[in-house]
Amino acid sequence: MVLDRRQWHSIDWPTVLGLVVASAFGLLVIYSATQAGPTPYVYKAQIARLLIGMALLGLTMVFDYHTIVDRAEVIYVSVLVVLIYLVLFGGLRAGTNRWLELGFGTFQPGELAKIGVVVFLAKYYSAVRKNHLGSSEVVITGLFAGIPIVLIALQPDLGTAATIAFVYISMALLAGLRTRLLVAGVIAVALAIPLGWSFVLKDYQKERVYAFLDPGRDPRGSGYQSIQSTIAVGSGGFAGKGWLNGTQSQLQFLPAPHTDFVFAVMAEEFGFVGVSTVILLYLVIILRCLDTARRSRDRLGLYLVFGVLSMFVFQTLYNLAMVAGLVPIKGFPLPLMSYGGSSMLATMLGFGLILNVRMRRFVN
Amino acid sequence: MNVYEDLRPLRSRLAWWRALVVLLFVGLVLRFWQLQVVRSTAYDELARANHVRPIPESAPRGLILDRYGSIIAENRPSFNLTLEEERPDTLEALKQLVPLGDADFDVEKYLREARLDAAILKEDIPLEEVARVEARQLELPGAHIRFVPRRYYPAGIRAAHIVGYVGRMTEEQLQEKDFAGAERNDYVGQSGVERIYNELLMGRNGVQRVVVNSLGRRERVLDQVPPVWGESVQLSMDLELQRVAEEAFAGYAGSVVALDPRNGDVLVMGSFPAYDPNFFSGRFERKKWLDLVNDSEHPLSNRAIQGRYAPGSTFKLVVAAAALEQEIVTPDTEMYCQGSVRMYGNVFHCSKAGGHGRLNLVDALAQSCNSYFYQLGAKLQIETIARYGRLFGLGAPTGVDLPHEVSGLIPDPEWKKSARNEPWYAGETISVAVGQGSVLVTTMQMARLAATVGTSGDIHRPKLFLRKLPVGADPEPYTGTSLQEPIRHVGFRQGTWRALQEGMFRAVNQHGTAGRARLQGVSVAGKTGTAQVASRQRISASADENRPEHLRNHAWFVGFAPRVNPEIAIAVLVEHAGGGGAAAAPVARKIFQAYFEGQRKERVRNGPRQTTMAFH
Repeated sequence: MVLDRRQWHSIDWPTVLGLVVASAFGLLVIYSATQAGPTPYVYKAQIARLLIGMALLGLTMVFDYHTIVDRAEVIYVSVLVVLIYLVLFGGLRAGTNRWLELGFGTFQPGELAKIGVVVFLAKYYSAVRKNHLGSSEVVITGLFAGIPIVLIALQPDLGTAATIAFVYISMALLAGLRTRLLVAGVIAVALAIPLGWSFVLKDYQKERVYAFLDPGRDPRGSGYQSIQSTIAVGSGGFAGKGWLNGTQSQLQFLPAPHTDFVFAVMAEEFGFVGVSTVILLYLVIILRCLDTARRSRDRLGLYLVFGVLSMFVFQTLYNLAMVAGLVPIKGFPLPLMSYGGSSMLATMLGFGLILNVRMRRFVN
Repeated sequence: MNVYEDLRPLRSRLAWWRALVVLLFVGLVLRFWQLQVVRSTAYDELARANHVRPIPESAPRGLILDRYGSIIAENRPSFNLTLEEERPDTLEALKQLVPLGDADFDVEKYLREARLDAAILKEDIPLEEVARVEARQLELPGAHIRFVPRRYYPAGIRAAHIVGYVGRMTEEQLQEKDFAGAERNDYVGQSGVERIYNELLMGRNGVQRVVVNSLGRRERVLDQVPPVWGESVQLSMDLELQRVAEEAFAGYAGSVVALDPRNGDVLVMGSFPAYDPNFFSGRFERKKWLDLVNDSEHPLSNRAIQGRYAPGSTFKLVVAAAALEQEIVTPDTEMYCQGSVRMYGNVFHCSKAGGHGRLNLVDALAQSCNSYFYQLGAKLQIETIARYGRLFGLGAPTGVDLPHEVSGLIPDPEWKKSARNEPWYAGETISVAVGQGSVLVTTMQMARLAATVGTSGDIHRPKLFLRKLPVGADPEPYTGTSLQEPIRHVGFRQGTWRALQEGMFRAVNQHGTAGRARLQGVSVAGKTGTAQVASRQRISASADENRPEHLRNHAWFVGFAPRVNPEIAIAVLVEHAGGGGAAAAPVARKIFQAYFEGQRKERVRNGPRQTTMAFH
């Protein structure tokens, strides 16, 4: 057995506790958000997923992360194969083909791709034994990250694509991306934006950008979600309207109240008190994991933790900013709290890796 | 694996990264502080506006009753189909479900209204359609059936011009202070008593605040301010007498007014043809509405106060009073009528071709001898005639409590100068002396003139309003006659009044022109008249009855009864009916008869008529 008694004791229980508390609170809010709607039973499905997620988390910890990373190429290639399959043959579901139909249900491989890319990049960067990345390394890793980004953007799932891009940039910066390369990259992206606007973005995506720039433009259309979310949050006030008592959520003014806007429901019903508590909880989890990164025994562990964490941070920040009406609406679940199987599994998988690194931080 | 690795650069970058993350989280908390603490009140209001919808509850209008408590206007329950949210899909579905009217169904307009408040897609929908919409309520987010009390006039066309009608408030009326308290889409009085006493009748709308979900489904009632009924208005008119008058008029155009000379109470007022006021409170149908407005017979106008007619020989009462008061003649002064008079180079004909021979003023009134009055006119001069006409209240509105009353016209040289920039010709005075030419009166003015003659000089302001009844009071008959001080008294000599009254009495009872108004057992006094429609010169060749109908003369009758202490004064004008004695007097007779029969029975009624409608 790879897991001995000492390692069992070195499981980072505070992080596990944080995950469980956040997920349990998420369940509470999901229940409230759906109990008056057409699918009052979804919280049960979420409980099942949470349990599976926890099991996956445990399973990920069993094997040494080095063993896992040794198979990075296999993981990466399998992810690419599935993504290519989706782009070519994926049936449309809700206007996108981000869903993989499995016999027993559906899954979003994009969620798994994030972990795959993190593992792959961690392996690559940890092999670079310099304090700065050379331009060839930047370009090569950029290509490796770029292929899944493009494939996922084609689905189209801009949220996940952006997450992977963010993870790539974060990890490259950590590995020592030179400032002038970063500047060059930013300029390249700035040039690409008008082209992308004309040739890549679909109308509904443009509509969302418009809606963000001026939410009042079409209050029944794309701006509606942003406005309703801000109203839900603002009307929650300091103390909130109380569990099951949010009007915006219970009367179904909020879109996607149990998935992308679960935090808006929470903000409405638990007020600023709930908001600051949950944000603090997320921050504690993040800081704890950063500590894990700092203490990891090798570069691989550090990159691995950091990669997973930057993915988690980006999704969390973006979702909260979206709920607060600060950024355009994108299909971003809030990790841990939002309803959604793929996201839950990917998040637990990621935290499994983080705990794995912490558990094995002592050189044997 | 146990290679020493220098992780320090990585760790320091990690520290930067951590600082950035903490900063961003702090920023987010501040943003939530701003939304949830600083601006929370504003967002709370927005949330409320989202899910709390005020549903107005229309106040039922007060009843309109006749003097015996019979209901002229009440309310019936009805249902409107409304769209309370801007939902094109629902509108589309509704169009498949219920017929939503004509080609001018303006989808854009309705959606706009729905966004603002509520769009009334269809008014007064049949119960069958109510059921159809209610059954599919879940598939029709934003669509609602609203209960609305709707004006109902159980007697239909009867007394239409008294009661008037109600209609959706116009954009202009929203601004007027007469209609303060009424809301968009409210029905308000647009004509008649409904209009004049709108403020009393209207009541106060209630409001129900309901919680709706994003699909517009009503979840629960938050609170409620119940509507307050309007006050009921009891009128001086007698619906039964009105019925008699209207039936007597059958087929003719014209108008009739009956007043109580003692106080000015309007007992009867009819204008023909009439309209059914229920048409205006029901579902609006453009075609029918246009037909009504453009009808060449003008059923919507109230001829009794808006129709302007030459008074014909009924004006001789004014001329006779002037001549007596000016001491140009006495009641016994005789003149000779040979059938026509030549004056100022024109020949003026008398109504009786061979002439009346020698007769005095009283008989000249009774026989309606034109020759006699041509000569009085010549002696009186136009200014004097005009002055006496105005003493009787002609040429000015009577002030009856109805909208849009006209003045009529008492011509004099000053008027002619300013209106037509022409001098007054002496020959015109001769025409005016027999009520032709430019002089114009309304039926209401003439009814009051009859009342003034009957009461030897009392001028009352005709009025329909008797009293208001408190909200919820049972309709009950108004008993007794309110004796009221006249607004003015015409201080002629008693002899003058007696001569006019005697002339009118003889006209009815002693082989005069108004014999058809004679009534067994009641001393009726009256005066007939014929208002020329076309000038005599142009059509002198043909007798009146041979002319095309629209050129035939109007028939007048004015009178009162009983001769002493009259209780009822009547003016009747029948358009294009020929001579007044033949056409107008019988109408008045039927009203007199019904009135006095009713009085004989002492009008023992078993309270008001009961109806089975809601809102009692």
